[in-house]
Amino acid sequence: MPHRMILRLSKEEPVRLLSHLDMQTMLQRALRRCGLPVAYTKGFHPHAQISFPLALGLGFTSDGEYADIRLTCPVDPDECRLRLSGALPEGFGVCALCVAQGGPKLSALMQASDYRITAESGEALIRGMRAFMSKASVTARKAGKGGEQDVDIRPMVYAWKPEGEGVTVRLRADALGALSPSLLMRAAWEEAGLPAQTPFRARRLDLVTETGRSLFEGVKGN
Amino acid sequence: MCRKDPDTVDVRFAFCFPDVYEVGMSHLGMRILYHVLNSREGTYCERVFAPWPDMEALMRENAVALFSLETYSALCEFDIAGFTLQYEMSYSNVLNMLDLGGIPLRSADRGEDMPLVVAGGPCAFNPEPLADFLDVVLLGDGEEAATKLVEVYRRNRGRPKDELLAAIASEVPGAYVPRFYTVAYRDDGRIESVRPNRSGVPPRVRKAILKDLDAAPFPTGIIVPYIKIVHDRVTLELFRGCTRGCRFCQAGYVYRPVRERGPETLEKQARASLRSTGYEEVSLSSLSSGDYPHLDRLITGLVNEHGKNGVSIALPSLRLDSFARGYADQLRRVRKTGLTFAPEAGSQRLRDVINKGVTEEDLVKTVTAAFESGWNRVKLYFMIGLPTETTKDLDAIADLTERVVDCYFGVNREKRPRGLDVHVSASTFVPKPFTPFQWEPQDPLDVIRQKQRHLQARLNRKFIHFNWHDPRTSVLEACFARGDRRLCAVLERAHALNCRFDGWNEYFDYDAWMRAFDEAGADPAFYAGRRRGFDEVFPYDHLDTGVTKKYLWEENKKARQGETTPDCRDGCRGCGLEEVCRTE
Repeated sequence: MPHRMILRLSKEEPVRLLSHLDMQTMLQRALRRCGLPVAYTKGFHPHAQISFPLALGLGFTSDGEYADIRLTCPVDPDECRLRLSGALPEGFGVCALCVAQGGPKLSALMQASDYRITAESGEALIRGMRAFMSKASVTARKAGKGGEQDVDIRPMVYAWKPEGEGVTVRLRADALGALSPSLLMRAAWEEAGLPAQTPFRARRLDLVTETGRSLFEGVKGN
Repeated sequence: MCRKDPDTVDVRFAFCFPDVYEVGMSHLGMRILYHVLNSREGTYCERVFAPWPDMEALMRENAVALFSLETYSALCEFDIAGFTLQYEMSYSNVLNMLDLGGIPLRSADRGEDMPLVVAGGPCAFNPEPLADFLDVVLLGDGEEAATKLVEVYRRNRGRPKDELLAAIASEVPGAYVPRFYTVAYRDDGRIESVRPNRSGVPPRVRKAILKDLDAAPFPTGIIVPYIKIVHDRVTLELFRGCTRGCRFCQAGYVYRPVRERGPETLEKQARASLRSTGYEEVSLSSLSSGDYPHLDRLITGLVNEHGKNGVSIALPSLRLDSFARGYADQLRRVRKTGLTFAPEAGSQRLRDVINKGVTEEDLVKTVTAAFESGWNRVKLYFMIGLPTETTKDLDAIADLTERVVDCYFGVNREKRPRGLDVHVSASTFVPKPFTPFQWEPQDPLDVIRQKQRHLQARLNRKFIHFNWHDPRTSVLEACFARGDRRLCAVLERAHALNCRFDGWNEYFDYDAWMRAFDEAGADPAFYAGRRRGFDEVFPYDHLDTGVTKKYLWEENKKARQGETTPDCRDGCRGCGLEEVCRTE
């Protein structure tokens, strides 16, 4: 059974505007700097075998950037964590790290994504969300593989809670589809009577399993 | 990136690369100088790049001055603003960056509170078109000169500018202060003389030569960018200068004598660099990497040590006569990087004129070896407009390319890879200073266009892609390459007409440039298209690369006879640097 390292990384303000793709490249190089036994693909352009269950939209911070890294042999998790923390550039950090053998893919266990959303007007944000959640259905234009489609995004918001000046939401994120905070907010702002492009900030808190447990605990438990 | 407290250092240096981040961050010279300067405790070197026009527009709209990446400080806040002159078409960006940074363009207009504006790099060997805008020019190797510059600056700051500059001119190796020289012109427009206008200033400024490359500072902890840059890899410099003596090549002459790094040094640098960056590729860089005497050992060593970590070795543009089958295997073991060769001329006659001594047999052997080893893409670089060129020579380019295609089909069907791709690139010859061809005229535009059309027709065949560039950029390049101080007014006018990013198709505005020439009263044909005589006083004759004008003239005469000059590794040819050079 293949050895893997599961990483949960944080992405902070200094690198908020870095794309997911650039973060992938960064991680590839950081792993090389650590000298960890990462497995590479064969062929003419070998690259590290890393998979990410859910890309983070541009402009958000996060405590839940997950990466599943295939290793060629077992490693000591404490040693890994130490090396990786030293190798990651400013703005990225290791929230949690574990090594496992075999087990389900992260994308298979993942069911939802939690976000904290704030905006200049907390009042308008909460009002908009409340109106959104009171509806039975809300249609939005979502970009998909086949082009753009009209999708009912209301059922993709599993839960929400006003908290202080902002809201916390649990959004669908599984193998068949995910709702991004950007799409949600466009609809929420409309409900609040504000322009769809009104700025907001979002921080991904975590990815969770079917039972609402952290994805990290979920894969570790297996 | 390097983080220091700007308030606690005594010299703040802004390294200004006059192009975008993606291009500038690939530049080895910047990596070296950033490291050298920041290694000094009292110096903080920060990076400044040219913003893309859309960003520039927003900056101007919002009154945001051009700033450094490390601390977001405005360019005018620095003590020294150092520009690297890589390419003549970046000069307008130099002016634009000064302007955006809140710095008066002309040296004479800058007060004591403004940064010292300094320039170095290959084009610094003829900095005259920028003479009115620069305070100091550093000729030659920058590693020691940059440190010395900062030291002399620190010791003399607060003194009147003239005295500060005088101290720099006398104490910093390779330092040229344009304002200490006056240019006199003849009635026919040519230069009469370039002479010092004060005492204590040498009639010729000799470039700085770094003797021991092994001992030279080299950064192993370099900045790894997040975004994709042009060359995203570790670059090792095998040696500086070149012994081949190709007659069109400025870099080969101005960076003589050849100084090499030993293979142990390079292996150490590769190891440390890969460990600190996690990069996937190492590039072995120099003017002619195939000439490096220990290349075999170096490549084998690097592949054995790093290949298993997925690191590939890149050998940019090898000479055809030095590429050996052995290398092809080594490189293929790890990863395939594209193969590029520069025959430069299509016929042996013309290759002998330009002293690029590769033969058709070299090309055949090399590309066949490449195809047999699994490469299916080959890039060939040529120049058109070379001295003594005829239509026969152009046809020879096409013949040579077709021969390459034939080589591919000559390889056993099972062995050769699928999908042949031969890219032919023909750039326009630009006569460069300090080369044997500095007396030559450039072909007029319509002649170049005609030649390009001729080649295009001959190369319009399966498997062949022909790339050619707008020759109008080459005209401007030729003007500035051997330009004098009268071009300062042209540059200033062009900047006022919004010229910048001239090296980029999207922004190059030839009409604006012609208008600038016209309004400044200068004639491009005088600079680009005029044949110079033996008695020509070049705008840069007061700058000394160590290679004598007499040697270059002799080489020019030999060129006209089609006579070659062998590699000086095999025997000194007397270029002028005999005392400094140690040829093994």
